[in-house]
Amino acid sequence: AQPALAQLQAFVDKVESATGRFQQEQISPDGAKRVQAGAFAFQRPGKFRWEVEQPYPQLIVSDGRRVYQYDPDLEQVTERAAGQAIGASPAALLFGSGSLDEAFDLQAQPDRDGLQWLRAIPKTPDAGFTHADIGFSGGLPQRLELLDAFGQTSRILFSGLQANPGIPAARFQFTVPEGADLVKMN
Amino acid sequence: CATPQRIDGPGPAFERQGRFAVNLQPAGAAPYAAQGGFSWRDDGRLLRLDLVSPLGGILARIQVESGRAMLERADGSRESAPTPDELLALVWGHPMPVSGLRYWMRGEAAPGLVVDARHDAQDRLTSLRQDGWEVRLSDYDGQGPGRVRLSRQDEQGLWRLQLIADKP
Repeated sequence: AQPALAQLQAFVDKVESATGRFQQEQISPDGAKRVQAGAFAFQRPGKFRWEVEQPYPQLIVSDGRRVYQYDPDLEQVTERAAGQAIGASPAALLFGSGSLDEAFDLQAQPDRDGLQWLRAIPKTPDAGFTHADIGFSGGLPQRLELLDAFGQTSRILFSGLQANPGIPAARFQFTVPEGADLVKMN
Repeated sequence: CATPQRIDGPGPAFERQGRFAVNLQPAGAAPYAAQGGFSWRDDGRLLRLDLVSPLGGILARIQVESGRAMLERADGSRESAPTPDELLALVWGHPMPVSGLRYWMRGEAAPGLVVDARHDAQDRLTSLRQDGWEVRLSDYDGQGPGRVRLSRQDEQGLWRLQLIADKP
């Protein structure tokens, strides 16, 4: 199988957009575990949708210019500039565009669990994570494992990933729901 | 307000996980908002509050012991102050009633003056005013209120904080 670095580059170059589902497990050092599941979509450059469905709804949408974060229970929408928000975040690794080695140091890692791995280390300290390991197979990312500065591991399992499916623009647009507080940052 | 040195000694820890939203509208300055997950662990002596970003990583960790409150951010930078309220004033530009929250999260009033306390049919605290904060408590479960809403209007601005506990 192709090394992970080659699969990542091909993925960034060839997969202009994609949809799929994710399951995210956050495991803290003392073993406490939080599991979230939902659907995602992205369109290069810069448009993406990260929709948590379980255990509670939470939505992050970027239209390429602005990133909206909405929690229906908290009735709050936070809007901020896209560039700064996805910059060196895990989302930028997969959904961003342009050369990844501006924002990350990329290092090959040994194969495990039937996947080809690479490690991405953010070049800026405020990325919110110490490093992110991505496991590939068949040219697509299957797993993302993040370690943050407090020793918490976040593992994201992707499934049902459809490459270049043709996504309606509305998927990456967001209108503030009635009654929600909108807070515009920077 | 008087900072309680200890609530009930290092008894069983009070733990909550869930989501938070902060909405700060300082008079004459840019608004600040943050949302994400939290995990709260308070054994009466040590309080540890983790603020987690929706995409996974811990954004900041706040640890409070008697006489010292410390915040550590994901990028490793640290702040500290004698009390948690002063610490958050440093970080968010306005004191956040962490010491009050240690009680309100359990459905109890904090020590000191309580104004307009109201209770529901099961005599559970549902709203009160303390230290200038409007506190609303709802969605009670065995541990306490599953939803805590704080708001405060003063000459410095309008401050809102919400915590929703995950259903176990």
